[in-house]
Amino acid sequence: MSEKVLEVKNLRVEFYTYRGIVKALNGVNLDLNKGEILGLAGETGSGKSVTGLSILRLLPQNARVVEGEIIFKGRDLLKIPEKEYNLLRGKEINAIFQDPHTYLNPVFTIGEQFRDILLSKKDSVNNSSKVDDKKIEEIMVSALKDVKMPAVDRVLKMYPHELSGGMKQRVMLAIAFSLQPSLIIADEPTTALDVTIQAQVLEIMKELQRKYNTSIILITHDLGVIAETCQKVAVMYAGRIVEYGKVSDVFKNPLHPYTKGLMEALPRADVDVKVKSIPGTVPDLVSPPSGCAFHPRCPYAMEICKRQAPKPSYVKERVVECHLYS
Amino acid sequence: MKKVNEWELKKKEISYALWLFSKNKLVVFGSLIVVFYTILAIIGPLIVDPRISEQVNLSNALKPPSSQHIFGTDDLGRDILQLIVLGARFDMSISLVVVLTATLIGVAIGSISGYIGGKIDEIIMRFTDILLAFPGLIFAMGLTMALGRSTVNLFLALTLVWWTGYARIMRGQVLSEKEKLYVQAAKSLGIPDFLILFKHVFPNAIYPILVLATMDIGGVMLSAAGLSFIGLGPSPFEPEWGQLINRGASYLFMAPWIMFFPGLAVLTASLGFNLIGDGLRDVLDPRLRR
Amino acid sequence: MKLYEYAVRRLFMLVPVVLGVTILTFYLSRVVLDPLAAYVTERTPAYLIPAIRRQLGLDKPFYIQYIYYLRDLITLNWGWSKAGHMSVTDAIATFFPATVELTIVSIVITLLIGIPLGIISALRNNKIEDHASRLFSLVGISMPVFWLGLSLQYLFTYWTRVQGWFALPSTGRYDPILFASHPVQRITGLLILDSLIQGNFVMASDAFLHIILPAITLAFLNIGVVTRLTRSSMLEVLRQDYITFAKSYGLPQRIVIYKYALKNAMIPVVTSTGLMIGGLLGGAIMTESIFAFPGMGWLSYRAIIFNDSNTIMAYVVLSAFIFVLVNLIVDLIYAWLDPRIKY
Repeated sequence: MSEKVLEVKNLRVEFYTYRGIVKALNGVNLDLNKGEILGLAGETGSGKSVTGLSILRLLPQNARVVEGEIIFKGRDLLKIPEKEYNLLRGKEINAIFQDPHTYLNPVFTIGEQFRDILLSKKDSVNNSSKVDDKKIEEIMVSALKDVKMPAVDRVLKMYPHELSGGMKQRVMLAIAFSLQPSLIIADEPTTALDVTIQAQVLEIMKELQRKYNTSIILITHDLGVIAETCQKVAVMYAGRIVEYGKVSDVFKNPLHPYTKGLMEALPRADVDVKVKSIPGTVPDLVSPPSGCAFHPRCPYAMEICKRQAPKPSYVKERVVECHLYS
Repeated sequence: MKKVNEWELKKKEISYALWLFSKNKLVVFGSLIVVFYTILAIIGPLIVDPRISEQVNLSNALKPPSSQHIFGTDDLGRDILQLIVLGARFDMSISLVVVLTATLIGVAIGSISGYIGGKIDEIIMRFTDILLAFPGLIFAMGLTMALGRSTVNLFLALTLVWWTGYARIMRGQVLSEKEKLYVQAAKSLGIPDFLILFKHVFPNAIYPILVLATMDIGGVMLSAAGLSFIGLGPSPFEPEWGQLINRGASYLFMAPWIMFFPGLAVLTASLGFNLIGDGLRDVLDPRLRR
Repeated sequence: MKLYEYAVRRLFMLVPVVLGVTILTFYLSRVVLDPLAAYVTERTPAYLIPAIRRQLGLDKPFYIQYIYYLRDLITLNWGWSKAGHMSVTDAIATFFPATVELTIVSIVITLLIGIPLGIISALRNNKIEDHASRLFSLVGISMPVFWLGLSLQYLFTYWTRVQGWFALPSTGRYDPILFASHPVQRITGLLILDSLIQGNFVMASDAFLHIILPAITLAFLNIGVVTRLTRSSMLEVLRQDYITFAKSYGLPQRIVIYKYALKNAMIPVVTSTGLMIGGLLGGAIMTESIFAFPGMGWLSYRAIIFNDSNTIMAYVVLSAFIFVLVNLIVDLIYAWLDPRIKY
């Protein structure tokens, strides 16, 4: 059976802003198995990026983790000291970010940056503290070949602005997978790319994931991307996971009203239905609605929804947070 | 459809800015200093008899600070504190007048240059490039030498050196606004150019110019004092701060107070303006405003 | 195109500006000023004046005079310096290296102090060190150079001596007695450098002691500017996504800040260094005269007293050329540093 790589328990994160305290995460629970790709879906403000940043411990200065545990390989990532966590960075836990144009340092070549990253993880690169240039070169070249990068030698000597968006994203993938981490957090990796490039990048990502059996959390608002890549999906709304299950199940038969709304909002090429949008707007996280955060927009809202927040219910292999199922 | 007048929006922004302003301690401090020196400049000759600047009283010369002469006396027996009070008028007024004139000239030339564009813009820009090739103080020195030493020439020289900065900023702003759609739309409606400039472009361009002007007042004051110090300022009897420091230099080791206190006056006055300008810059920074 | 091609192209673009500079200085020194003044005093007999005018070419129309002026500039025939008692070109050759040395030492001090202060300020953003450095910068740019020079001179050459502590030399570039027993050959004209090259540490340290006060005086204003610039630049850079990226891969803090952030942050600082030169050349006039440091600034001060327009105009033209040249070099360095710049 598959083992659990990551367990997020009851994660609560708040942001201190001039407008007040933003309750970004209100009790997030997640499980990730080895070799699994989990999609974290939601609109802007749902808390999906914050979840990713919390796992990476890259939250901005005005954020506070109020409660919760993030168990990775037996350790609570939130409790270990920064120095210890830093050892995990790159080696065990990696990140791929959204906008490839801004995530690479413009004044250094690709090769230099890649090299610096590998050098900082030198004990996993060669098993001594001496630097083996040839080995590093080999790793970089093979990683770039993995992502089907043309003219690998030239690319290493190039500056980021000389590459296209798609190529830069592939570089990010190459760097991420080169260290063969256990966990990769991919935050909107294809959102900034053209649709055709998107497909390419996703293909490469799936291939590399299969090759190295990496566990991935894929954060995106694009349900199409999730449908194509992920095995499991967790739908987020207002800082909580409202539905969780296998992608095929959730997409064919969404249980939570929000998920239903999302599915109905997707334009379909196979069935002739009108595209329906979910009425209302995303809730204000400084003063969220009482009870279930979705109730103001929910077509099935009941009295209890206004008063009490629903607890997670288990329907076969799925987890739903809705009073309809409790 | 309601017509949006940029100036009305600006009024709201200005009151918000002023409120932010008052929260910054350094800025408040700077404003107090400026107000103090402004008052001094205005009432100076009223509280201190201006004729003392020409009175020689050698028996009282080179006295160190005491209860009678809080800042001591100079080589002619004149009380330093009184001289500083009298000198405030000259330094404050020349700084303000120079910056005001330079701003007006610079904004005018910059807007015209940017708006008309083409060959004229190029010529004007080349001209400013030539002017900017000269380091500020040195240019002012050359001009004053050529024109002759007098207050008017000092004013002319400083103005000529300073206007280019504003011209550049203004031109940049006009250039970027010119391409915007609402300007094209207004033009196609037949609205005269200068109205467009005035109503729409100016309100946005004012901020950087305001910041620059405020800090330049301090800078001009330093330059004016500096030019006086090397002998290119007004007449030697004028109680101008730079002159006083020049006098003090000759007696540095014997009577350091002669140069010290007038210099302190220049420093604090300039600091006041710079504090305000710095605070303005923070307040008006669009990224910090929310 | 290659960097040197870009450099050549920029040099060509300078030509109209340089010409404009010469036209302007020509106008000031020949049209506004009376060019006779340098060669004629009250004692010159009246009958000689027309002959002098003819010799100086003053009877010709202005555009011809301008041609002569240009010719003289290029052939380094810059006239006679009343204040220096030698030809202007000789005066420049004699006095300018001192100013160059002063400027270089000043810039070095500025960068050595300003950049680290700026980095600290950025890293301790909004804490007490940050506010302190901000106030320090503002005071720095409000401070009259000459007042600072005089105060430092009083403090460290007189008051410390009176207290029985150390004392720095108050004037001059070197101790002539010391120089007599430890002579230094003139190679570059930069005394400290020349002394070090020849292994003459006595004179090197003497020259250094003489230069330190004027250099600090000049540096003070710029330290404030560099500190603020470094600080805001660093803060801007540290906010960037590529810093988050580097952190997410566990690159050590040291490398993230001092390699990844700093290289980006230094770019605007480099450009501003070019502009500082202008201020330094100007400030040198006051500073050198206070410390009797024998450079072009000191000579210019004397020239003002003696009404020697030749020398002053020469300094004006020279400063303009240098300023333009230095800014060109700075632009080239900028293009070299930032790979995004296309040329």
